[in-house]
Amino acid sequence: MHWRGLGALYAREASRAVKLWAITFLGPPLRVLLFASVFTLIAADAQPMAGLPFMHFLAAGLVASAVLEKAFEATGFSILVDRMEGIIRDILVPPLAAFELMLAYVLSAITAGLGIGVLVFAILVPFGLAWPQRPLAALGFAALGAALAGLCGILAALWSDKWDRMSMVQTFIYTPVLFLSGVFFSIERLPPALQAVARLNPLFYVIDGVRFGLLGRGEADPLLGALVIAASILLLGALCLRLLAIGYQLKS
Amino acid sequence: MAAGASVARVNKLSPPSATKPRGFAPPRRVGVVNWIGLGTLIRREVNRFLKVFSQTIAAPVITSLLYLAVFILALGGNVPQVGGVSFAEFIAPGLVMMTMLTQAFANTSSSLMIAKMQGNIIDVLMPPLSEVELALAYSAGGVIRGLVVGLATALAVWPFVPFGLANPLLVLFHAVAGCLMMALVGIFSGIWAEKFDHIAAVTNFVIMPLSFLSGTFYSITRLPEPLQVVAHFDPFFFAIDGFRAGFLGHGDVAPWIGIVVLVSINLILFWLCLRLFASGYRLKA
Repeated sequence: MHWRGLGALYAREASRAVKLWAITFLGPPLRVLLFASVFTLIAADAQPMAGLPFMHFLAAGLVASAVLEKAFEATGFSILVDRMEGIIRDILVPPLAAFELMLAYVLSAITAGLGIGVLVFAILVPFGLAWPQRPLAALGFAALGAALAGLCGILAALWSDKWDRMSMVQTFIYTPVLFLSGVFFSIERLPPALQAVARLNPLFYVIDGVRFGLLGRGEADPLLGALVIAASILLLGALCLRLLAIGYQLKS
Repeated sequence: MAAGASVARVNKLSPPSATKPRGFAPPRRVGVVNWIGLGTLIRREVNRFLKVFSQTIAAPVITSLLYLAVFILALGGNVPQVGGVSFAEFIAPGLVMMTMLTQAFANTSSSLMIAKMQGNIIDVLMPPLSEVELALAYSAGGVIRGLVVGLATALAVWPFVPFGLANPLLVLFHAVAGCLMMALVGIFSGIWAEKFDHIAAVTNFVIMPLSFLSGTFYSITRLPEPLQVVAHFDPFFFAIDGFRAGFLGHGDVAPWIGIVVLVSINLILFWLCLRLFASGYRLKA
């Protein structure tokens, strides 16, 4: 294990996420604040969702979605920028194994995701969030979710050969899947066919797990959720490792 | 523009001297309006966004559909009717307008900023185009992008939420006036911005909040009293409210107030835009 290289790459990736603070650290919280205000105005007296007061349900979902969005962008945009500017070789040339590369990226995604998650949580306290019922579960699910989203980001950045494709992945695939996975509404409200799909979707379990941690109540069994997320991380991690090892779109 | 000015523009290109080489076509006389230049720049602005239609047309349509799905699934049947229509029928026109406003802004701001960054802004400044023609061509590009995206969004939303069309003229006026306003604001931002982050900051901190909080998703009668007063100083509100009134038949304020507000704002913004292009601020540095 090349600890020093791993640490250096991690430090670079994590500090990069913080440096772009105006866009990355203020953009998502502001969007969350807008959604929370709009829903408060429309639906302050809406009926409960999945047994939770609507605004509490929504606020917890928004925290989870901010973590997932940020973690995806942290790895995805970093790798794509490096590829576009041709400086990715500075990462490929040092004696870092594919496993170490992946670990550094995923750890930076977890750092960025949890950082945004805590910030968004603090912003949403006036909208009904209180001290988490199960803080460890909330952190654990958020970290697992960020790892999963970070892997998705790596895969998207490896597959994209231009900015256009990356933003298409985000607009046409990642954000719709994320928004329809129970951020804003209980999946019981989906048509039955889509409900079955949602129950196969690991992002649903991340959002539900974070909600379980923050509010003490979710829609699915947290243990099942953790297992599904872990299995997805292993699967995507293996794919990612393979692609990094053969240098797919990196060492051409 | 006076005829004298157009002569001066020709003269800048070819000073009247006796040593004119033979075999060259004489310089094209530019009339009061340089129609060919104006048309070319408009065509360029339109082709620029059509070329990447997946990002400039398909992406905003998908995002609006996503917002619609989210709001209806989260709140459908859960919130009372707004002004006599269902919640879905209320937000559908609002979403269409919000998309148009953000896209009109995106077209002019990104076009100018990228041209400045890549240095090819000079290709627009060098030809004999006056500030009026520049302002007209750029804002036309933004308005056309807004209208195209708006039409596409409305057609995509229609099958899910069939909303009525009470007054097509009101719809058309607010669509054009709203897009023109945002296209002009986009020109200011594009001239001011020096990198992508600046445009992103304006979008995130000004355009997004205004479009979210200006009655896209709720009637402003739901706002607390002091905020209702603030809303009446917000041009986004008049654009969205009037546009919606064109579909539903009634809005939060009388349509003529919105029309007066939008016409005056557009006149002021257009005048400012002329001043900016004429001064060459951050363009001819």
